[in-house]
Amino acid sequence: MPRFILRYRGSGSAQTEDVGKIRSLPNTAVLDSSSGRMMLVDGPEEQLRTALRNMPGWVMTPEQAIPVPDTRKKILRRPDGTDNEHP
Amino acid sequence: MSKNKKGPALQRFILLPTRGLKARQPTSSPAVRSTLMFLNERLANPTAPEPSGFELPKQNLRVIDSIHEDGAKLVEMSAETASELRASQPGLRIVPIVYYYPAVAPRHTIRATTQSTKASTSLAVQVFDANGTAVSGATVVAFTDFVNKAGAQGTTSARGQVNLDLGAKSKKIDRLYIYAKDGYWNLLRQSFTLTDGMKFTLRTIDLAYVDEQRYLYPDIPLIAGTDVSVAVVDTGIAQHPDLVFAGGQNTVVGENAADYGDNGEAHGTHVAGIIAGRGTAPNGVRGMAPAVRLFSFRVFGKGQPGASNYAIAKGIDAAVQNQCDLINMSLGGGDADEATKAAIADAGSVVIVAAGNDGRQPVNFPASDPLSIAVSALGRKGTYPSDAVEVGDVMAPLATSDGNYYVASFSNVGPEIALTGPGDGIISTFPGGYAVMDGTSMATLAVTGVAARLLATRNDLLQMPRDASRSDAIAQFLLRSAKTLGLGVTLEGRGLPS
Repeated sequence: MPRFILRYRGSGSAQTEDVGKIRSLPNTAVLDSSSGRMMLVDGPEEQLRTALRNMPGWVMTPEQAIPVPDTRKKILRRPDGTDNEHP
Repeated sequence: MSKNKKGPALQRFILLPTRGLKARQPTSSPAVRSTLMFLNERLANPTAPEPSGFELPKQNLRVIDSIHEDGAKLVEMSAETASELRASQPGLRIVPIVYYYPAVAPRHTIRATTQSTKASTSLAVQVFDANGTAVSGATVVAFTDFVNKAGAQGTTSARGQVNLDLGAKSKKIDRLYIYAKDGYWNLLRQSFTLTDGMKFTLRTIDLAYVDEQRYLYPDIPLIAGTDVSVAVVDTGIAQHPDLVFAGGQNTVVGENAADYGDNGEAHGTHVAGIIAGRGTAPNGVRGMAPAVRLFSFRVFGKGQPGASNYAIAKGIDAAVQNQCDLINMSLGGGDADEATKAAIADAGSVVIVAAGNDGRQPVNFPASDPLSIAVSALGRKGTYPSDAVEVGDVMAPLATSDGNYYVASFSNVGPEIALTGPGDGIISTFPGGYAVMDGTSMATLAVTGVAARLLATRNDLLQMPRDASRSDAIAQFLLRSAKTLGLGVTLEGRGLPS
């Protein structure tokens, strides 16, 4: 299941009751809420978006990953033109 | 895009407050609000005089529309004017107009067959150092067709040997790259015939060598960067004799928050030395601002393929909580996301970000965020050995001020580039030793280092309340220190800071 980031953009810290609302949603796990203004949540997207409509100041975005920067050249094809399976 | 009969090409941009759609304190500085208010007047009266002390680019800026008197403006200006405006008003978000089109499915094209025709003939090469000792763990990449990235690659064994599946015992090679893990300059050989049993020798790194960073910024005193706190949001930083930590945090979910050391990739350790190295050649490396308070925020997990935007946003938040003045992010490449954008906007610190290494592609996010200072990688001929891989990074145009300078071929470029920095053949710290690396990552730390040195000389800026006005003033000071090399704004932005 994709994971989502919920971030509080309102003034001050995130409301404790808002965090509680997310925690109480079915089939939803709050994986991290240690930053005070963000939560990493594993749960159904539509359910989370619906919940956020009643929680002003929050934005939601999918978690994604970026690779370590690397400028080293890599082979993409073998000399005969076939694709390299493990560039 | 339109073009003046005589002047530079004009583009349309949206000018936005630091946060949101209206410039209000504390999320936007008074200067940003004044600028948007004045541009609102300009919409009604294009010849409205600028108030005294007001600094805006004098030419090629036309206001087309305004959403609110202190809100977003649609303007037309040249890329050069946009660069000037970014330098004078760093808190103003300058966003190129984007047009969306229907997503038409691509036509099917014939690809190279994936059916296995694996060649059975391989070719062995060996890699040694100058003392004749075998170099193990080196990656050997042999391109038979560099443009199409065709060829074979492998990693040397304990005997320094690798077998390359090139289909023959002798093969014409466009380019052969040998990347050692550390301790050596990486090697490039071009346009030759590779034969079975060939041997190659790597040059050992001499810490007294004048690489690009030491050429551009020589004789850095140990006190440079005093009282400035710098966050390196990266793969973590290893303990190293040349580095001193002020603190840090691991923000990867599921890992120990106190483990902000290197995750095994070594990238963070290398970039840390570029700014904070406290060594002295020939026994160590000296960074750009050795006296900074260095914080490591590790956002890349151990054994994971990448950093999540959650860990990155949390790392930015943690840097702000630790009162870091400058936040360095030598990372990027994902889609723009609200969490990272929000963390940058909420930071109130100057965020300096690598443009990315995709080879003249558009600037990566988060460097492309209007509140980031995006950095490209500058190279200079003669600051690396003649057989080093950096020789292959030279790409036109060469600088009009000095033909030895170029923006490296791997660097991303575009109108978001604010500054350039040395990023081609940089010697720095590595877990257990030293290594040479290239990239906009390295360039970004050099720029952050200049920012730290400059900020250390301005107690008035250091003492300002930590808000948008402070980060605007610091960014403005940095951007104004830059001098153009004559490479063009989409490659070098304002130029090289000093």
